[in-house]
Amino acid sequence: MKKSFSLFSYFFYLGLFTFGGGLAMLPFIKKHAISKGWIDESSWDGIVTLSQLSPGAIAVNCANLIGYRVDGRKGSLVAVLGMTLPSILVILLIAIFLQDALLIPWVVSALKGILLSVSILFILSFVDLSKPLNSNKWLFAWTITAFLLVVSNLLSPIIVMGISIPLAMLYSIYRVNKVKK
Amino acid sequence: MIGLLLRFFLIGMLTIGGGLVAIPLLYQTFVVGEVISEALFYYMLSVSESTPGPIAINLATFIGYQQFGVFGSVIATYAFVAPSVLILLILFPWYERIKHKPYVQHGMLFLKATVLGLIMMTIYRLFDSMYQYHPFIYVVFGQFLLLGIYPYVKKYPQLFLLLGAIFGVIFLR
Repeated sequence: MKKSFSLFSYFFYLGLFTFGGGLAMLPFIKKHAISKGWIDESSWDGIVTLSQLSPGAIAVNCANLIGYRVDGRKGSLVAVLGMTLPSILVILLIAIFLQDALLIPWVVSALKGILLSVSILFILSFVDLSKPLNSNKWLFAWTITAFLLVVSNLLSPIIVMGISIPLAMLYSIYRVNKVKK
Repeated sequence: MIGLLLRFFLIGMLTIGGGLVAIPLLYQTFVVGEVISEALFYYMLSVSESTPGPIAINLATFIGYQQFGVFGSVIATYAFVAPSVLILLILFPWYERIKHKPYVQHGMLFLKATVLGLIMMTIYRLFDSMYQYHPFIYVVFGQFLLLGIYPYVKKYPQLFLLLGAIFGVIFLR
């Protein structure tokens, strides 16, 4: 019970006070989880890999896995709840007032201005995420293909994401076999 | 309501490689599907970025509330999270071994390539909508200004967003 409570309170706190999205949370989670003895340093990489590979937001997956490590299924549910509840509370508070707030011109202007910052943040994440791929022209070609398929309305992004899962499996089998030869 | 639940469950299942992937999927489902307007979607995105917590979760809560009130927001958020919780419970026993497997490494790179394509799409749409509704020169000026400021405020994302908001109040009327 005590373990679950400390999981819940930590992830609740993190969800309530960390700005900048889930990726900004990872360094904090790592530090806290290791200092609390929830995980050891060597298992962190495995947790991040699995969090990226599984569906959903990475920070939530991370919370889920650490919760499981600490207190089994109960721990994982508690950690995920702790992480998501602040979002629900904060967004609800804003959402209730948004309709009225959108009638105020400067609120709309501010939201549009924020979108400018958001576009910069997206471009920077794009650059950051493309680093591991930059030596591989085939993967880059697939990035462009996926973009063109979606932008031309030929395929919905939902379908592109769906087909890329089996394609990723085929690609990894091809690559691993190529190395063996 | 069931439709909302299923949609978020599907999006949660296909959001692989981080919350940024959820944005084009949500856009496709709710804006292209004409459930909410593009302008409202982007206002929600602005708020989701500026509030604490993972962006995809914030956006899911927001859309859920917009559709069916408080109950809708809870349904949307947990339908979005459910697939990852279920899949991780199954995958958990492998987590120690998974990081060294070459299959996993290559597969992950391929998925990252897809993720990049979808982020590109989001950026393209965002630019498209900004240039459509605002004077070109202000948007370009604002973006270069913010890009120039970014290295100095890197550690404080909320400050960076606030600067954008201030720019918006002054220039984007």
